[in-house]
Amino acid sequence: MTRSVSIRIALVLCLTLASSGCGDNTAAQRIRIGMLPKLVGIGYFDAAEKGAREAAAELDIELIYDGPADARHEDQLRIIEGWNALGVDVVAVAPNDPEGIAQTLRSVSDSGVRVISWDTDANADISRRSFFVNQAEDSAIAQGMVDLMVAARRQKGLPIAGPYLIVSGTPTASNQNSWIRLMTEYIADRYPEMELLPHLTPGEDQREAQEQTATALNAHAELNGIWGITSVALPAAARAVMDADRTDSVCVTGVSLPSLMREYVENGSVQSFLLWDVVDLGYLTVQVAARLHSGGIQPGTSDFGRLKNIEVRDGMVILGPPMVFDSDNMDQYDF
Amino acid sequence: MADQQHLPDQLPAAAAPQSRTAARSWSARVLSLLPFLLLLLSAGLIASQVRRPAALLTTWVPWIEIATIAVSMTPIVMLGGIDLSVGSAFALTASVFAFCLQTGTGTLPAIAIAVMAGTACGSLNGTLIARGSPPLLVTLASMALFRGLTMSLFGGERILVEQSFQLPGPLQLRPQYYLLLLVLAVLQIIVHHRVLGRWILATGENRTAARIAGIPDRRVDLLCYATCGFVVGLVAVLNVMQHNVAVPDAGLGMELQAIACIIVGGTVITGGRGRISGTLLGAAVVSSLDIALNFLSTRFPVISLESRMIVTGILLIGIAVSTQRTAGTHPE
Repeated sequence: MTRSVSIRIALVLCLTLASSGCGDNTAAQRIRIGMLPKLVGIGYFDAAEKGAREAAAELDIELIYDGPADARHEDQLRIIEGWNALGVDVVAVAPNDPEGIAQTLRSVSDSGVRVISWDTDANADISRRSFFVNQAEDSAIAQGMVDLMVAARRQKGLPIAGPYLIVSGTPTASNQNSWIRLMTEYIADRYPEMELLPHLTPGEDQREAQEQTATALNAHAELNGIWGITSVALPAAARAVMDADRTDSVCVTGVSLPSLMREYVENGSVQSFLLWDVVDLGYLTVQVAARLHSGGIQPGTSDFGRLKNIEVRDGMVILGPPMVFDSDNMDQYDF
Repeated sequence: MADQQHLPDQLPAAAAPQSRTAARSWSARVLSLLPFLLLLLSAGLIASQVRRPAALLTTWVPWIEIATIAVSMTPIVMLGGIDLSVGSAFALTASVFAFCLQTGTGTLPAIAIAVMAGTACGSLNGTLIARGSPPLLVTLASMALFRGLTMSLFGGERILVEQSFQLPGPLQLRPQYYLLLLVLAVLQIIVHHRVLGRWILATGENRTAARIAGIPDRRVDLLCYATCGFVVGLVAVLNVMQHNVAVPDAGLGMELQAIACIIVGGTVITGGRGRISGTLLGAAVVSSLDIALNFLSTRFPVISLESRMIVTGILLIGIAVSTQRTAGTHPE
């Protein structure tokens, strides 16, 4: 029994070695790019994949787009290490855990793969990623959200002065915390009559966000407006204001997906909100990856395929100012 | 429980190879080749796709960790038991280790504390099971308990480790490979060349008979579960040293992957029969199948995650059914 097992294993090894000899000659020499979203199967990343495939077809490169089914950090590690063996030239990753993934990215880049991040940056010092494809600058998003709130108040003929509330996601979300800081600075500078209440951190949970917003609405009868600054928090806040029947006095805006906000924009409880073009973000990521492999990317502004005048600085490639979505343009976007 | 009159034959070294081979039908022989065919196919697929073969060693590291845990769980399955809590115990010990390092405990004391925590997890299971509680029930409960402890003790947050551990051993193999070899060698000797191994298999085959024969089955229980916990602790420590972070949802589903490796490796789930080296083969089949399908899906996007899971599931069921049947074939 033992002998026959070892004979079989030896056979397997011989055949494996033989077939690996054949494999090397037939390997295609097109650029191979691995693009890893936080997870697959949700509208946001499906839209990014659409843009990425468009760029891959334009540039005639081989694009591998794959990700975990449910935003798990460990699955991302496993996928990246598999891609390394497959011989990808560039890895573009949207990390679920920017700190936890850093060591793996570093070891991958040590073996000759170029690494970039998109959507969410990985720890730049440890991971040695070349660039971060950033959807929009944090300050532009923060200021844009404040400006949309002011515009909504003015449009309804309501005063600006009074209390406002920010509904965020998890307490450690790096994008959101950066926006909150910049919003606070911008408000102190430009609209000192606005008063910010302590922000809420209900996590990425629609029901929890809705409940906490409803509690805050009860506690603050004079509330002027609410920012929902995650794709989950904004529809939850809009729903809470609708349920409390205070859409006339409380303005709601923030950051979310058109598909999640359609209902609230159509019934008028939200006038407008911010986001970036996610398809363009996927497109730009693949363009940057290909450019990185074939030469280099210099600071300044340059064109990436159909996207013109893209700004490159501080290790970031910036898609551009965030877009305002309202009832006029929302139907053109299917994410 | 099998007939008691077969007991002497079923102790593995005592089984006469010729009579068993003769009793095997032709179809059973073909079925027993299935894992090897699958391994061959997967290995060929991987070989045809890989462009940077050296990186394969890193690709395999998560599977090496699972294989190590599967090997250490094999004696438990031989006993007729099971340990569903290994994934949760992995997350708990990883968090304990990272927490100790973060709060300034030295590296060696931190390793000792983490491995002790792992052993404690295993001993808790072992103690309860030795008192006669069903292993499935006990370890299902402790799976939830350990995960809950991980979440509540450390606030459900990942714990970052600042120290950097550069541990590439000789041949540029990650230390996980050496741990697997060590665990494999030790358990191979104990289970197949020492009396303790006979005790394990005899208890797994027929606990009552073993007890009457004077085998201290309860101490064997405790020892097997504690050993498994100890190894889980070691694996968790190496994992944190590699990634510099402990994640609270680490090791989700790890227990099922480990059990798949054991079953495909020919250890009978009801106990009494099995080979430590078989689990290594099982791990080789399961891991190369997973990696091959992953590689294939990059060529053909049609092979989505869901269909990959279906294919893996069907193939593993096929192998499990065939190995369980052939391994269970009794000499006439």
